[in-house]
Amino acid sequence: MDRNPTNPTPLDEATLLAFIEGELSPEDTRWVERILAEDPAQRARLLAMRDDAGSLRALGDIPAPAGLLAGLADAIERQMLLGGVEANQDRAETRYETPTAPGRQLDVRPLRFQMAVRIALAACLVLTVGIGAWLAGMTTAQRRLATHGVERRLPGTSEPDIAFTPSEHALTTEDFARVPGPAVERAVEGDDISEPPYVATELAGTVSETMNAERAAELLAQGRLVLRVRTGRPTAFRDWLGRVDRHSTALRLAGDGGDSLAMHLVTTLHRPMSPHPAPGHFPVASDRVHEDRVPTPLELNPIRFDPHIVYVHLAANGETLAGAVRAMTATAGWTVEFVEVDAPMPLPEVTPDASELLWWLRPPSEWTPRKVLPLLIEPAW
Amino acid sequence: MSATPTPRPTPRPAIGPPEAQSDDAYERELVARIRAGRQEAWGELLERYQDRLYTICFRMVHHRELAADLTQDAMIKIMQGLESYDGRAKLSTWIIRITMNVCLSRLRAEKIRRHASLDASESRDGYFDPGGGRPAGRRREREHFPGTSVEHSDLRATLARALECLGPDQRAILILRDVRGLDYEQIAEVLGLAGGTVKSRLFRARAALRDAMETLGRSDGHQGDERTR
Repeated sequence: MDRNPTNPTPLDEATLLAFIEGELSPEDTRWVERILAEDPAQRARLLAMRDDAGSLRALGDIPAPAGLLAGLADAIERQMLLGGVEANQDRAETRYETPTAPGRQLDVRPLRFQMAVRIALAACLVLTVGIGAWLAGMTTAQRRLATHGVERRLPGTSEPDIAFTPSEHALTTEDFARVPGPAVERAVEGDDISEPPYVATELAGTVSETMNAERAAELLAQGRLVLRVRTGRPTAFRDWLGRVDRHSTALRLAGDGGDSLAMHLVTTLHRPMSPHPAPGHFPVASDRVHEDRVPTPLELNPIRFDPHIVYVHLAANGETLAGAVRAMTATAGWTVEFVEVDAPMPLPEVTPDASELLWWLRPPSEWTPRKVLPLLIEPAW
Repeated sequence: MSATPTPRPTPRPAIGPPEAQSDDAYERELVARIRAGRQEAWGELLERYQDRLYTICFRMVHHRELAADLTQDAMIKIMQGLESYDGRAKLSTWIIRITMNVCLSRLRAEKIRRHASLDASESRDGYFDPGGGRPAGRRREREHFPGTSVEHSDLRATLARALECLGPDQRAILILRDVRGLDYEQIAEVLGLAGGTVKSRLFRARAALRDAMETLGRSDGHQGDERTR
């Protein structure tokens, strides 16, 4: 630094900044002060800047609002609704080999998916809903199916034959209207039909249900409930399951006990959060749906369960279960019915998994119970 | 020209910023616990940082609800990205960088939106915002400083308002340096700037803050004159 008083070097920004920050040596400070003294206005301004810094420092921390952390789970849900929480899922890329013609949708699956439709004849998925610790120790007994659902026609083939009659606490269409669900629109040429709205486009579902929602919840708690899905497009259904994280979060409902998620697949969420899958499960990659494999295959007369499971948060009460059913039918358009099993099924125990993004921030007492709900997928053609 | 006695610049306090006082080893342990699947460590980590992050967000947007939203957004990004945290930077620096990026992204988006549609309500409320950094359509919030004298409280309130008048980038650098007490190297890391750029921008930000303070002071004085008339 040139300190020749007869030929002072103009102060550069770095020196002025160091002066403001008090980082100059006493000798350099005096030199800067001498230069600044020649311009009192500039000097006053620099000293004020230094005071500003001190005052800013003194502003201190502002306490975060109460409930900020508790509301984080809600924020996560909100971002998921907006597509902001991107799951680090290892999605296999699906390429469609032919462009979609206007007005024609979704019939352009790759060959492997066409094959999968056939294979899906005997396939079922197991939805995991609820904590399910109480499922431990349940024994296999007679597993006779008793259908409590009703047959419904595939969407678009006729008028809806049975209307869903919600109980007092059950969902209504308004419940779904309140929350942003996936837009249903027709794909046109050039659209990326792998996006969720188009997956559900072609099927405009009907909703019907004869089993009382409370009864369904009771059976669910006992491990005696199976959800049967009949669809002309089993592959599309699997595809929908693989994407259901966004769909399902649209089913966030206000209930008496506060908000609850009617249905929420966490297959895309729990892995990034925890490298350690829940005990007894290990991740298996598949084309579109990421599932965990249950070591013990389930058998449900006369159908052998393909031992895939996906995790779904489902509140134990009946209305949210009904919401899940309704989501599958109203949103995705598949025919869904409850099936009662005579004896509890040996469903896998699903312990509370703190790694699941939505719930760990809340005390365990507030975690949504998870139960295991087998899901049969039956082609209907 | 006679030399006027100049108060000696006060050296920066020996105590470091809050981050520097944090127990790095403890935070490393927290990260290790999170990575080991002990998710309760998340709660500890976020609780530890929530005030700091909220303060950054509030200073950036000067709106309580928006600041809370941004804090939560930042926390989500932290949660999503912790796996990619490689430990090269201090955890606090990494966390602040994420938070600051969330704020800057939001403010830039607001600015673009505001430029796209001239917001008449902005001019109606007569709010001084030369930096264009204030989120459109949001009412400025008065900040209260309990336990300070009226004069100091006014000064700080004016300072907070002046800070709000700066552009997002200048506001960010002042918040990082003066409010959070980051050193130049950390600021460079957070904002993705070269060290020299940090210094020059910091100086200009200080000058801009002073300008805003003076403008606000004149404006307040003028309003006071009007009232006494």
